[in-house]
Amino acid sequence: MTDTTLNRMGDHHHRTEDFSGLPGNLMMWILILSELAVFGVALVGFEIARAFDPATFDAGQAHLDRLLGGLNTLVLVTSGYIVALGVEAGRKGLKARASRLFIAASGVGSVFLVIKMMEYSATLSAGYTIDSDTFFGLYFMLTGFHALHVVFGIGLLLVVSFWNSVENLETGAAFWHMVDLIWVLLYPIVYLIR
Amino acid sequence: MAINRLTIAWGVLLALSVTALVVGNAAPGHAHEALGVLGAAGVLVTAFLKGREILLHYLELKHAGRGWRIILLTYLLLVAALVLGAYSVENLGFLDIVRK
Repeated sequence: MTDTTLNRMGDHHHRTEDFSGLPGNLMMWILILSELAVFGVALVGFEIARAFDPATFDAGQAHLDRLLGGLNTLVLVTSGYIVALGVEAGRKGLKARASRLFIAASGVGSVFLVIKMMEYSATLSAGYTIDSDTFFGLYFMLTGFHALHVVFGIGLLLVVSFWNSVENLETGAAFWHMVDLIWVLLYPIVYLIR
Repeated sequence: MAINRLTIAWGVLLALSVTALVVGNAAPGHAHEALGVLGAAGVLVTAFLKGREILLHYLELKHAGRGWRIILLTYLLLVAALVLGAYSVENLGFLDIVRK
């Protein structure tokens, strides 16, 4: 275990009262907080739009595959778990293991995109596009914007698996957990609540 | 040997995801007023608990300053509460006056 790791762990016990002790680079956290704000507003906006036109939203939601969406939740939380194990390995100085776990997590993450493509192709071939109505407009916008973050996240996991300092691993993992967190809110709101 | 807390979080997340799918499928939807609100509330509780698990154990807020925990858990609660509020207002018929 390196001195920095020990310091980091030691610091944790003194950092319970203030605004410090976040893992990874602070710039990443500024990004995370702004992303969470944007998605939070968008998801509440989605539900408000629904309140004014429940019939359209019900009809649209009936065409979504709740099971595929649920499967994607399991995929993302599993990938998040693997990344968390990777950070743990990195802190113990097990760099090769950390890199392998990050590459594995990006592989599991890409399953999310495969399932998302299956979902989109089913929706599009049923004749529903971003222009169909308010529901499908918001559905494609929210899930598409999120999927874009998954693509970027997978890239980031691969980059930090190569340049695998503890700070890089923590920063890449933090972004990936944010993508996971947003999906955990987006899926129930867009797919499940009828 | 104690089970790694990251593994416990993963198990909790898998269990809550399956619970959300079951509750979401069983919920009768917006035609059933109070029961629909109950179903939506159930789904949002699982979402809040999942978010909390990710924030505390994967984003490691349990080790960070208390301020971060308060801000981010309040954010989760606020999104869930506002979504449930918007859903309930429509579901319980308060918007019918506006629409007419």
